[in-house]
Amino acid sequence: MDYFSTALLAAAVIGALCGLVGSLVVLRRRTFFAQALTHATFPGAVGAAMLGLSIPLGAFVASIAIVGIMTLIGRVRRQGSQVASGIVLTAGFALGVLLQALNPSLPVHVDSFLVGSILTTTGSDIGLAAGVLGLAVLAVVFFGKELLLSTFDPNGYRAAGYREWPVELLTLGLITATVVTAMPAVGAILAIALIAAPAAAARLLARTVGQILIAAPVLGATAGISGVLLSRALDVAAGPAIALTAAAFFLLALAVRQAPLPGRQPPDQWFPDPRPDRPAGHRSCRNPGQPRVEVMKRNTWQREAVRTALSDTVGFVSVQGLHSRLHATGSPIGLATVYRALADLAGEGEADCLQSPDGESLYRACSTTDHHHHLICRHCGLTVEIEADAVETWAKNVAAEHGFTQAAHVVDVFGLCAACTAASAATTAIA
Amino acid sequence: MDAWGALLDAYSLPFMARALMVLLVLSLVAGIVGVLVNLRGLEFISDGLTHAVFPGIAIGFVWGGREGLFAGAIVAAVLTAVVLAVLMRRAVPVDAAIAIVFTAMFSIGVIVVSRETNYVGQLEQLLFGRLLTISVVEVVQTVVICAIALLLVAVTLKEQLFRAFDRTGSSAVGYRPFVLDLVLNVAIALVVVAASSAVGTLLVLAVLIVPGAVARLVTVRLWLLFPVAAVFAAVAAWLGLSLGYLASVGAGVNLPSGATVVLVLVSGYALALVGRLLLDRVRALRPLPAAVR
Amino acid sequence: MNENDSQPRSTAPLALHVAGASFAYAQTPALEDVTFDLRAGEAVALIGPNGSGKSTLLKGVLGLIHRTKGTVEVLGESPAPAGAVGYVPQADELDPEFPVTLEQVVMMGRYRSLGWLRLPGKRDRAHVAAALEAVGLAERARTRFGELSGGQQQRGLLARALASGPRLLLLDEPFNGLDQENRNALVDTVKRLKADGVAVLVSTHDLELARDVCESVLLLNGGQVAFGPLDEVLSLENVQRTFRSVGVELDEHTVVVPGHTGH
Repeated sequence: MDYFSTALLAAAVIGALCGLVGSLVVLRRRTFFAQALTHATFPGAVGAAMLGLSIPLGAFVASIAIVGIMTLIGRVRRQGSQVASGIVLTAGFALGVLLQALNPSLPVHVDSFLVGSILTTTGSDIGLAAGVLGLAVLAVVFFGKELLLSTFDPNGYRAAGYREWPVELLTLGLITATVVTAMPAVGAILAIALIAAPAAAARLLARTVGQILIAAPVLGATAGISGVLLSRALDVAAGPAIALTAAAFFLLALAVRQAPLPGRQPPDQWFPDPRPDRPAGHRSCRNPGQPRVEVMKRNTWQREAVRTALSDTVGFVSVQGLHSRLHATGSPIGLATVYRALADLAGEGEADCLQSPDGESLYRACSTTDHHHHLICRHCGLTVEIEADAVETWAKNVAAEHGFTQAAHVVDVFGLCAACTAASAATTAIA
Repeated sequence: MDAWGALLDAYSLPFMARALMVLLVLSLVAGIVGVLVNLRGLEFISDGLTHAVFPGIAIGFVWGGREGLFAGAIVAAVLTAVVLAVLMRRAVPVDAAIAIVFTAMFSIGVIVVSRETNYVGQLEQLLFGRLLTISVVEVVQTVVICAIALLLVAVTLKEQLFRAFDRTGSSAVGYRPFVLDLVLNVAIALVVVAASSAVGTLLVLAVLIVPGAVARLVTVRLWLLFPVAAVFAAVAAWLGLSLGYLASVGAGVNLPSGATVVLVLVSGYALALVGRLLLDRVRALRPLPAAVR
Repeated sequence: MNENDSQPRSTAPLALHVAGASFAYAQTPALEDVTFDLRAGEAVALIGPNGSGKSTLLKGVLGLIHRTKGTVEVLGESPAPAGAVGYVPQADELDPEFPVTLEQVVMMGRYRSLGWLRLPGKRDRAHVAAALEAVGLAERARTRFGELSGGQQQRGLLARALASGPRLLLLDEPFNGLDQENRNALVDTVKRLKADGVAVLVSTHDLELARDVCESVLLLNGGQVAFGPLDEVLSLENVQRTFRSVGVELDEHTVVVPGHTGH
């Protein structure tokens, strides 16, 4: 195989990998993170070249260190993830330049780290990329539903009893591996275009996540191949040509999406769901017990958090009670927001609302919309849904006796549950 | 060659004095524009700007040489700032779109430079700066551009702070968000332009982000943020320059000064971060004198 | 007040005049055909379920969203004269880590009258002190805003609006989640403002509050359900129409509205 065919093959494999993993980056809104990571591979690669080690290995080690530092900074108050990414990004570059200056006789030119040199890729580069691609495909096939749920509805995901770190680790690992393997093709600076653009284009055009996961790698591979061909035809550097082709795909998708097609509503915003933590038109899992994803009406993350917390709660809970639970899990949600979200949920029949004996509003997630009654513990709020056939019969009869039709009733029985009765008996006994 | 000589005597050399002068002016700007970048959370936007201005720098460089670089850069900067302000008007940070479009613009810059002879050397210069070889004309250009950026921000400082704190409230009293965003974006873009010939396009971001982040770690008093950021940037610049000088004159290692300055900035940030974490730890252990509600 | 029923209820000048106004976000209509007047020294309560257009109306009066038809005049002018309108957002929408003191937040209310480039002077500081005094937070002036309790933040934002000396004050659900103490402090301030001739438009879930401070009520549910004096408008039928999708009817005298406790 001549060097040009090798380059084409490398561009196709790396493009497909970037497209696939890029979907995760775009859907999980980690673009700036991925950007920082791409930049930070630079010192790792220069360091590896200095020590005579494998360049992807050096870049990989550097990326691991970088992820650790970013996670640390991101958790400090008043700093956050944007600051973390920014600091790491520029520190990575400065370090790379210094390392390179310390060793001016490096066999590899600095520009190939920065903008790539796909014409010099080797079989082992391609092998590495293909291996990572295989892993990414396996990860998507086997952990697809966990990835999906944790991306769309992190609160629901946690509520469903999953732990967050395995999925987070998996995505981080995939992003890091992709960034490292993409370096030979497009370099540290341009990699983000090949990672984000095919996925963002697919996101604009596809209707389902499944379609995005197929379209993005195809677009990525196409961008890679056309970029290499263009670079030969126009005699320009290959890395920038690939990045530009990928960006052109994105702009094209944007134009297609902007043009009102017959039978399609014009999009109300030109890039869907871009807010990092407040997705508009959020898809959500209504019942976090089963990872079933369905499209809901317009929602906010606050409302989702309230809904999730409410369905995690046994029995009725007051607004304050739910608010302090949310706070205890680290949610920054305000009391007023909880209050409004609960009123909304009650209004839409997703929550029961009743007045406690002291006049406070209490809420609870509905498990059924059928007619039913509640047994409510006055002390702990434990609620049992009961069928009360005797009440139904009595209500119907008493209404009929007075000539009433279409009778309706609300009957809730307050008392002390078995546990609270026992506890109170124990307290009395001790006293 | 001792450390003292590097910190003081080195600046009697004209090229060192010019480099320090440029960096001190940039520090002043970083203290004001950088703090606003931090408060508004515009780190990602700033990164986009540094990339997007690059083709302007490249084209200006190819057409006009070292001193024509500013003209191309300013055109690109103002254009980019307008595009960004329009994007921000949508009230949603379009992070993937920004990354893609501005990386694409960067690619155009690389292609422009790649058609030059001595492509690699020139690319490196444009990306990482050449602090020690800037001319008097470039110093003057830098100062003038920074002064314009400072003026833009100073005129709107109160209003920018208001908008950073409360977007809706600030539009409610009649401030036009588009105008404020545009002014700030143009100021950031001008800083990118001014700094790009000295510290290089890629390291400009450090000047914009790090001092503001350090100030946030050091103080919670609003008006202290600005002097803290500026003084921190100035001291880091001085130490970084001296370090580069010491390495090349004392140890015979030729370190790019832009990179040493950035490394000193980032090390300072690391110190401030560790200090803040320790302080918080100590405070958390010591019970508060009186729980004030 | 011994008012004759045949006379107009008030002769105070009009602070806000809204006639046949509709508002829209991008392409979606948000609120249709609203007509009401608000006079100086009086208060109107905006009542309706969430998504009924309360915030939309406030933003429409502020000129922050697009008015598709109708009139909105503040003090007889459109757009509103500079500095005439004060707006109090919900405190939980702001970043608690933002490095500002309460005093500095309140000073933001003076920025508009200062103009570009000028820094606050003695007079502005006096206004700020007075505004903080008015909401009962004078002794917390130097406290960082994020360290105040939710209720105190809400009062601080009210003080910011006061510092600009507005003729018309817009409050977006200021009483949500407040404890009794903060609620009373806010109600007192609003009453004193009205006595000084400030017109108040307040969106709320709290019918009791509407009774406490408002002369008139505007019921919204995507459009105007009813407007008029509180006693006439808060009929069972109107409230049912407003909350038709969310209300729970207990008996012919009581409608339980989610988010509203008691009565």
